[in-house]
Amino acid sequence: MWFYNILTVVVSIIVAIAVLYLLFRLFALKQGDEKVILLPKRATNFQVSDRNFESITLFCDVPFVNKGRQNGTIMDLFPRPLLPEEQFDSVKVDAWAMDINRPRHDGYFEAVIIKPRKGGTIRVYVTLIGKSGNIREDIKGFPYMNIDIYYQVVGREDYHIDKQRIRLTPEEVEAALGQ
Amino acid sequence: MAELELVCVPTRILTDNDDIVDAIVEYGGHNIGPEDIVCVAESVVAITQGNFTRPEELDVCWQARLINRFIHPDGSMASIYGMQAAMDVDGKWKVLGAFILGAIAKIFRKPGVFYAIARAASLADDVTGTMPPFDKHIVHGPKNPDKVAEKIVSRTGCYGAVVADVNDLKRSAILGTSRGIDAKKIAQLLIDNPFGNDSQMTPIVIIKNYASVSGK
Repeated sequence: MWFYNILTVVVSIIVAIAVLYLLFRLFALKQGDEKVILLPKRATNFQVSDRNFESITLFCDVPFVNKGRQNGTIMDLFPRPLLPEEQFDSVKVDAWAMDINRPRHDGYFEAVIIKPRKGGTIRVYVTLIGKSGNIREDIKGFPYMNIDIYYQVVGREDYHIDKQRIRLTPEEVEAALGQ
Repeated sequence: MAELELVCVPTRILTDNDDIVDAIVEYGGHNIGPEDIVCVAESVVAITQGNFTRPEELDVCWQARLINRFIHPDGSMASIYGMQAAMDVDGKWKVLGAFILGAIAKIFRKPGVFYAIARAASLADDVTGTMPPFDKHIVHGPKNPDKVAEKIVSRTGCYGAVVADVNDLKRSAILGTSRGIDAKKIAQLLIDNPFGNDSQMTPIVIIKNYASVSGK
């Protein structure tokens, strides 16, 4: 008999823990997490920020939004220009980004909290430096350049690293040089 | 007659390569007298002690994943990393116990029990809580704040020193004092947060003429 009593107690405890766990999971599901995403399809065209004989700096604005139900923090973000020398070998590329509401000029991305259903804008800068020292000559034949934007986000749960892609087109570069 | 005056001392960004007492002497030493109280921001003391961590370095336990769900979304403990950082200091079972007691206390309309027991949870600043380059870190509370305050007094010759945790929401707490200093009185003097929002840039405040005005 004592065996069945102990078994009943053990099973009851297991069932109680299982029910509490299930309730917690349902609560967590209802509470949700952040869902911070960049919206590259809504990015602006690249425009000129600075230009001299050797180089040209362009920028574009990429909006982001927190579609989740919890605060989200972009801990870090950086653009990665993808222009291998096999594709085009006449310019050197540098890129950096910042939150448009926290302008900086040091390439450092300051962590930012985004409330649920709120958003903002990331400004991505790209500098093309002519390898011969004459950007107008060096940029001739520029094909296009993809730029992957990596960003690390944390909310209630584990942080994650995502990336989105934007593209700098030859038309945008030509338009910038023509200005 | 001398009057109380709060003097903010700007510094460069202090890091774990700095010593807080050296920094006080370097930036505010010329302005500190024997009647004065030197107040220093707790987050900067913690940073100079290397008392911070990165979320990426933390191994998050189930207790942190459980409790963080019940914290207000704007709190530092709302993220599993902030909670885990506090648990690494206080112990996960102690924080879990504090949470359970805090929940029971709330039923009886007594708030703040969780943070009163889990001190590390109340002192930690989550990511974005401090200025760059520590905006990507979780900054704990300072270690041995009383000792830090004593060191400041013996090095600068001031009347007293405190390590303070003050914010713009009229929350002012003194975490450590040198001998004989009335923490409540100093907390009241700092209630308007003279450190400013970005306390890393003005982490030191000197309360001038405190001793003579208090009649000590």
